[in-house]
Amino acid sequence: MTNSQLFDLLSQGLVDTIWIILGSSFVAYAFGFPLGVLITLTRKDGLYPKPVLSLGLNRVINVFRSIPFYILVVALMPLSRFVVGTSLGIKATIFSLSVGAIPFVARLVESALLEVDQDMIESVITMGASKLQIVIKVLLREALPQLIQGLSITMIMLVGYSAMAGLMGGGGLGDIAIRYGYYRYNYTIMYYALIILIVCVEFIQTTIGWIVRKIDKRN
Amino acid sequence: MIEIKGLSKSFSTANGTLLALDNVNLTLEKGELVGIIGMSGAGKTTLLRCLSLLERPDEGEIVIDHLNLLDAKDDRMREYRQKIGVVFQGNQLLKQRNVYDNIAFPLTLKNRKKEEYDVRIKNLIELVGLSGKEKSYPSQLSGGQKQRVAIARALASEPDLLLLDEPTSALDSITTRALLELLKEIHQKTQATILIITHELSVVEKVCEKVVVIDGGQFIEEGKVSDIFTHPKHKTTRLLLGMED
Repeated sequence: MTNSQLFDLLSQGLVDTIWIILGSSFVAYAFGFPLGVLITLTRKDGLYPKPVLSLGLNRVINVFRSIPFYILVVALMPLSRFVVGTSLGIKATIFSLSVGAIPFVARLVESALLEVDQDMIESVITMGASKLQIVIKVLLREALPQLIQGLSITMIMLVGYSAMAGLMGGGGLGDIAIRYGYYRYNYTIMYYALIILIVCVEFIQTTIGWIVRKIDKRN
Repeated sequence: MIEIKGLSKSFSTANGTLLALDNVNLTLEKGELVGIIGMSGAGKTTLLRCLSLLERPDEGEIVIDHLNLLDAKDDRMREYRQKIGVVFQGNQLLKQRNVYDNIAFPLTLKNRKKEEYDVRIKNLIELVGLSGKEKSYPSQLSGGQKQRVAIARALASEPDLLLLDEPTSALDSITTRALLELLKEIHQKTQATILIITHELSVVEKVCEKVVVIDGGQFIEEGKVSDIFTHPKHKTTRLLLGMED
């Protein structure tokens, strides 16, 4: 393999990985974020206590969270074929990663929101705030640094999982590392892929970490 | 005039029913500064939570200008809550908002525009002696400064009653003195009706005109601070004053 072929291969892998991370983070948050808010608000000590709904949602989330990710991806293959039309490549990977990450995101959002001080919420209630105002102006606003921190954790987790999805021809750098490194003993390509993955993780962590420090006024 | 009529509240505990408030009555004239003093477990917290409309009493009325606040349904309740400004003990400021935004927060809840309240907020900041700190965040303030922000915030929606819960409990003696001076000053300037709930004798002694002693969920003694503190009738009052042990 020439240098330019290697470059093309790896840069395509990087672009694929970026799409996988962005796409699956987006979908996972599109569903996981509202779900996280919902399970926080419907807790028995929440703003809108709904014991039955809360119990049901928590059960479902726990079931999904306890399935090992790799198994989940395999189990989702038929569904993936049905929903996005294929069980191979980036689209299929985004689909299964998103589904796998939704319950994870929901829990992260829940734990961020639960950290908001109860006394603070009560003091806002005495000011005549409506429940909706409390959710938007207090809960989400006060938890913003943790919520964004959660995004960083999610994306880094997805980098790892995207590599695992690579085991099933999921596309991206993980796929390349396994196909060339593991199956063909081309360790150079594998290590290159690995280094790029590490750089991706570092990039996510430092960028989001910087944003969080910028907006976090608690210290 | 603010009237608290026949307020009772009980809780069921593992050891049976606990009567935390037992038919308490109190009338506050407009512009009065009254202290409610009692030991831990006397019913202070329950009283505070009922008066700040966080807890619903089993019986009784809280009447401001002939309106019983407890009659209100959800929507009115939010409106009524703004008639009472509450300063809690601690951890009440919004950590992600600066001093100005914290104080203006009750008004933003009413969807008021900044032009409408800007002058008022700036005056309040000056009143509590925090000029120049508008852009500071709570984490950059001392305990005393945080309490000042909380007081200004409670005053923002021009409440009929300013309710303070142990306002100095987390403060050192010098900061406490300064905060009490501030309360007196606010009282003189705004003629607000103020009710302070505390276990600290010195707080009542330094700022209040009238004092109510609470014990076992009941108001056991009530009158001018000078009278009660020199001629306490009730045993608990004497205990609080250190005249008995």
